[in-house]
Amino acid sequence: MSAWIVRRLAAAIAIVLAAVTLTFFLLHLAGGSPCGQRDVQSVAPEVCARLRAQFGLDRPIWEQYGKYLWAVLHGDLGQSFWQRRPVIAALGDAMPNTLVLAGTALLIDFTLGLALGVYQAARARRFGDIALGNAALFVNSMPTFWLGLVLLLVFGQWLHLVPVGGTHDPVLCARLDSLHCVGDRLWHLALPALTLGLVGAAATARYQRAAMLEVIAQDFVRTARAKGLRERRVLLVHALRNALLPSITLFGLAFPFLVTGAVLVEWVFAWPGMGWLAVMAIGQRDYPVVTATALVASGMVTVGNLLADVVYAAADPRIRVRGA
Amino acid sequence: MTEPLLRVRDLKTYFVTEHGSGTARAVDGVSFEVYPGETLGLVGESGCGKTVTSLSILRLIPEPPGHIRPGSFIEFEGRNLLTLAPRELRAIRGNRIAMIFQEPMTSLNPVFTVGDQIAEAAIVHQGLSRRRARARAVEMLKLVGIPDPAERVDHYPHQMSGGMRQRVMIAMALVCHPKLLIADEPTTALDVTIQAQILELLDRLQRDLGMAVMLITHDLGVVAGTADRVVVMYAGEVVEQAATGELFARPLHPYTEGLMASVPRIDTRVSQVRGRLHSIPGQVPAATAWPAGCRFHPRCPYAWDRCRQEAPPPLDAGAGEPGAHTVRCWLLTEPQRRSARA
Repeated sequence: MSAWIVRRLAAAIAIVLAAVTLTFFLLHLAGGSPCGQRDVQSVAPEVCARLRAQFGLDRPIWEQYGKYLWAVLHGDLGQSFWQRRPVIAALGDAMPNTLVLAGTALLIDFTLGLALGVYQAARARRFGDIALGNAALFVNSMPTFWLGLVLLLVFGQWLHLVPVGGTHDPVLCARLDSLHCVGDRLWHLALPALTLGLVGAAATARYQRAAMLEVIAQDFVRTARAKGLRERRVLLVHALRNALLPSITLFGLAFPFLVTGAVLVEWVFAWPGMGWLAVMAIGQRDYPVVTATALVASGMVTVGNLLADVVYAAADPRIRVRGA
Repeated sequence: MTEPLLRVRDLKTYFVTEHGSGTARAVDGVSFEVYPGETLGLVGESGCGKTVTSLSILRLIPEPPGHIRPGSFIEFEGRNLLTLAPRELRAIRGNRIAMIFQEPMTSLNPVFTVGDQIAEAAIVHQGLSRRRARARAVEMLKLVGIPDPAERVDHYPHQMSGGMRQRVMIAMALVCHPKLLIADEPTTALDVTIQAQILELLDRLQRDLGMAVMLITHDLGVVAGTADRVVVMYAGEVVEQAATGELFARPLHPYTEGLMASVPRIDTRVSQVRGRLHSIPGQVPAATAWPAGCRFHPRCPYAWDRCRQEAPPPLDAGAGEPGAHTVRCWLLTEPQRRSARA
């Protein structure tokens, strides 16, 4: 068991390192500089050269890369060029917003997805299943940013039901100090979380339906029926417990989707999270911030997968015993 | 004679095939009885409809694609199982009629302990508390001869061998002391030595608990050793039924004859074997297109014109009471044709 954990941790570190390295070099290949775009020099060349020297950007790229890794190992993510404050502070502001959004989306994704998948499997090939299946395919096929824009247009612009962006009312609820302001936050959260969650739920439902149908065809489900159990118990206890195993893997795979999906959804809904920060920083060629967001995103993905593996091992007795 | 415990009349279970092109008449007008306390052997080749028959009794046929035709009748303790409401049917499943299946490897749920799976039926049907149901599960494991039952009760199916799992299946089926146990090829997936142990166990439990057993098998040897009466099925129909002794002494249907000739016997002298074991020529026809007339005629050594045109009804072979030995074969009306061939 411990050897397995060590192996998994080593792999996780390697993946994060690879993501950081790729981001670092790709960003420098992209051209432009913190001083502005190639053809629109907004800063005087002398100032720019001084700034480049100050941040070490005039050094060979390998040297910069080495210095960066060394600093990261010591817990220093550097200074944001654009925000003029430590990267860690920028991340500290953005991270909670993303966690709230992604966490809520994940909740919607799996509760709705599992429920729909189980319902569809129980009604397989009947009207309810076919209607929901087509609806899920439709939602799943839409890009998240487009769905977000449409929801925003309908519910925000036309119906005025929800705010069109941000995480909270900056005037009345700058601080989270009353029940009204908690409601205000949830109100702002509703559309972006639904956009991200619905698209995820559509995919989860399709996987869960297939998993349930596969399990329902197994001999032990027939055994459960032969015992005289209610159909509800047969499906929700005997079948679902087995059909949940693949969904745990899916749960791990949902993390990258939420991270990447969040980039677009955060942008559409002006939600100042990690994705929004990354997009802003890329536009500004704010190298330290972009690299740091890649570091955090890949870290989240590997932690998500690790978590999924641990939960899987706990849920499946066949794996639990082998590992012990 | 006593009243039958289970009476199956004209059971027809059909399946709609994949492309909707045809209907597989897997079970096509089957009738038989099971009496209290007896063992009935249901014999036939793969695809003859024995498993579908047994699943139909507890209405475990997946619908769609399967369905039991109107006009079929399955009476158990005076009630037609085919018209019961789901709730009443559940009160019979696992309680009055229990079932064990061919594959002990896949018939147990991999994510629950065997104790939980055995206790479940006792909780559902007898309203036992979790603790008492667990104690009951330990008792049942002991009854089916599993060593260290108090420890084994917390094990998962994958921690047990095939024979042990089939014992668990039996413990699970018998936890509510059913009146009828349907055992669908309970030993087919097991090693020969384990097979004998399981059959002995079933035999002992049947006597101790006073239940009837419907034993479904393709193995005539198993039937000879355990069954009181035998029903032989071919192509979705019962072709012959009789008491075990009578059937083995006087098999009348050519299919039954062929089946018996194809079983190797330990008491046959080598000189009598004449080289190779007998096999019935041809193949079981497809259930979507049974042959016209007698369904066995394409493979029958005695077949004549009548067999190709007219399906024989179950005819009484006149041994003991009426209906004690019935055969679906025109040979009964023209016995001289048999001797002419032989």
